[in-house]
Amino acid sequence: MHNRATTAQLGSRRLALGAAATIVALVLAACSGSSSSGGGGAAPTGSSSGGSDVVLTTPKASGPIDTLDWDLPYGEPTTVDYVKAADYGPDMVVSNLCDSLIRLEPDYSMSPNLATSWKTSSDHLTTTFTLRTDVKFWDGKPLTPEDVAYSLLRNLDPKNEPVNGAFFDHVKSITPKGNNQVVVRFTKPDELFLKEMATVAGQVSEKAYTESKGEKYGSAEGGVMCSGPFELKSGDWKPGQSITLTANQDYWNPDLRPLAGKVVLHFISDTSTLAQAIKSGEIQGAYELPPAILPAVSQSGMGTVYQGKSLQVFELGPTPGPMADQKLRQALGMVIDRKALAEVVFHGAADPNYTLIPPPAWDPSGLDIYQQAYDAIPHPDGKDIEAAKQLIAGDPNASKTIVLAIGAGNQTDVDSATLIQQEAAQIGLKIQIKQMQPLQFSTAFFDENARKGIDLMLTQGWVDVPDPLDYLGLIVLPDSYFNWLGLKNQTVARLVDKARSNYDDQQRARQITQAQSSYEPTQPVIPMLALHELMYMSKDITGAPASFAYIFEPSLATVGSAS
Amino acid sequence: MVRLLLRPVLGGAFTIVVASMVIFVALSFAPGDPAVTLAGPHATHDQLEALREQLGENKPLPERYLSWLGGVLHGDFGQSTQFRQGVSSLLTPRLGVTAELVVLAFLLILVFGIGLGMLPSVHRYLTWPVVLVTSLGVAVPTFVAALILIEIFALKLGWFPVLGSSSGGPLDRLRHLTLPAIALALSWAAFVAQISRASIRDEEGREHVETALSRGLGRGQVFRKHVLRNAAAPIVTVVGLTLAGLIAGSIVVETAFGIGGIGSLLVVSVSAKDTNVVLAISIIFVVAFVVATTVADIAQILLDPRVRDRVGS
Repeated sequence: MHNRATTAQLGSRRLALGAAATIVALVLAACSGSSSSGGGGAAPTGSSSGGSDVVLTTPKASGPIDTLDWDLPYGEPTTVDYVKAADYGPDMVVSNLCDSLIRLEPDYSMSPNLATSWKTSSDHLTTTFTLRTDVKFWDGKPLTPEDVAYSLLRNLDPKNEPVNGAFFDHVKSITPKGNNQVVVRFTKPDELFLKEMATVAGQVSEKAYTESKGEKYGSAEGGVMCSGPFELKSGDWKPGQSITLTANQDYWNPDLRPLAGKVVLHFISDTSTLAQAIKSGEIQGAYELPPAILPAVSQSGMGTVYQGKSLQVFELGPTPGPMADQKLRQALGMVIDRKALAEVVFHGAADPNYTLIPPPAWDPSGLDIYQQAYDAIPHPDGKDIEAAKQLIAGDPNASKTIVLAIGAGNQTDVDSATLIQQEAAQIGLKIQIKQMQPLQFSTAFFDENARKGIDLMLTQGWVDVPDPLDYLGLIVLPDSYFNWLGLKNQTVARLVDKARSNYDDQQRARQITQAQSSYEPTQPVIPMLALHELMYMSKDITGAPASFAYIFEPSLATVGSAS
Repeated sequence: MVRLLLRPVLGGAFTIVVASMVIFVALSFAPGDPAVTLAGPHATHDQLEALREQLGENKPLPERYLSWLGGVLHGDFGQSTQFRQGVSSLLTPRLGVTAELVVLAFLLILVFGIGLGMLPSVHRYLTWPVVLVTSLGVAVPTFVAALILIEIFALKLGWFPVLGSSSGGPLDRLRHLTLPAIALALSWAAFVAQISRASIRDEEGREHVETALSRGLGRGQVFRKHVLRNAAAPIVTVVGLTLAGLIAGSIVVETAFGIGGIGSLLVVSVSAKDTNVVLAISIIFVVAFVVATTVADIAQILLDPRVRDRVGS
């Protein structure tokens, strides 16, 4: 039996969260076969910019359904408070309940949502959001500018244990204005802020309700009060059992009025149980399908597995010790056969990636610039063994044993680490794999002491929105939380800082790629794969977004009957 | 009778204190820091310290233990760090689910365990099949039983659902819990059957039974009055132990069938070092164990006059 630890409540998504993902799937039935599987015949309605055969959406639903049984990624959420939501499950649930100021679409474009428009002053120090006036919370109270200002400011109060505080770093004040506006003032221009308003960081809850629940807001007891397409009724989060969402028939946006009357969200934490529940038809849909059960689920004939565009990455994070030696990082990066890793371990649900920022996370308005810079970076495919050998010839660090930490019992991690170990051995690097218990592993992402004796951390992370700055700030700045090596690249720090205050997309792309050409040769992380989103839907339903943007969207509102 | 109950109560309390101490110390030495993961990557050193203070991580171990114990004596099991919720409100709904599962499995054990054990006495030709079936049953680990049952009865035949949890009415819950209960009961039922079979066979060979038979009393009457009554004592003891074992076994079954009971919560909580939840569940296990064995002891006394005399004197 594969026990599966649920996600430890990690402070931040992205890198950290990825850690949770890695940790979490303690399960993954060992499938070492190398068959790959695609989208199984359904006609995708979107095209991709991310990889070989990834899609953005699924065929539109033709009609309503009574009940939808969906499995939440990685078990029961520990909270559905948008301020604390830092993991797949919490983000997915809260994004179906609560509206954000701006909506993230399946193709990662952004459109008006609670805010009908927004205007930034010419000095970029003030942004004014104009709000819809026809939005009501589930309890019938109208949504006011006070609610919006209050909700955003909750991200700044440490008492709320906010996970997105960093996106409010440059915020000076947030104030309601008149009956339909909210004004955000900045100490310094911040181009990332607007984009993050399309994530959970820009979500709005009712002030009166939130204050009355205090610390219990977002727990099974306290619930939430939002304006989204689904409503969480009192007592419908049954701890350990399920969360039932009820369609909000009065939802202000007719295009996103739910097709399903009810959605039952299940917390299956065991991978083989999930595979069986899909085969029996009890589960109709799931995001983050574990790669290990991809072949079994695809062959069951019950439905379709979609490979969607995703901003998730799979990489190695070096820590002080022998891996502080830049040549060792470069040499290891050269011998990893990324194509083999994508095929064998991820069953084709990933693409090779050669930079810290994966191609799907590039800013769409600067694609050419990013592509050019990406092409200029070496794309080692694990074949040039001799060059890697020469690079570390005579290096005293090369004879030291390198400890690679992975989440215990996670088959994807184990298989990946074993592959990397074999490849490293070709150039004489000895890698020792260390399986760590979930909390121990996740703690190691945050706490230096917990990383003692570890040289590499196998990491799965994600980028919120297609903007490299979302991820760069966590890793390449001298004081970045995940800059474990303590690399002090002042050129990069200056460029990233400038870029964040730069509203000109092209110029910003140049600044970011310039920073990239400075940090990438030093390999702050060893990039390996850009992952695809794996989403399953049974034959009788359709309409869910296929891309990883689901995490910040009302993803289940459009799911309905397939026939 | 008061004296009879006093011993298990005191023994149970003692066990709870010792067990909770051991768990407390063991968990505090386990690697990983919940505060670090709760605080997130953007927390300053001061925020992290504040959170540690809030979680009580900075206090010395004995002080933390005593404050926890004090809380428990007042009915306060503390907060879950993971779910940010009171432990009692977190456990109550899950406890009901586990109780339903365990009771159902227990009934299956009573009916099939004892029934199978009696079968060879009624139909001699069934001796070998019963021995074979029960030997197999004892040997099959619970998680293997779960996988096989799901494969056959849920996926191939479609009689029962894969998932054990249900929020429907009692009948729907029964349908969802049937396979998990069978998986949980299987090896215990086989064990009880073997004990029953052995116990009954011993009694059947006794002199007074043969005497009764030779005097021409009916087989059925002899079996009921002389064999079964005397054979019942060891069976009751084993059944009592079974109940305690079922609660522990629920950990595996709940995970395999996606049931949100206290067993699966224990797994999650140990991984997340959610000390208060782990302690509360452990106490439930200890209490259940003490109650089950005490009830078995009392049943023993009621059934067996010899034990009754010994206790009485």
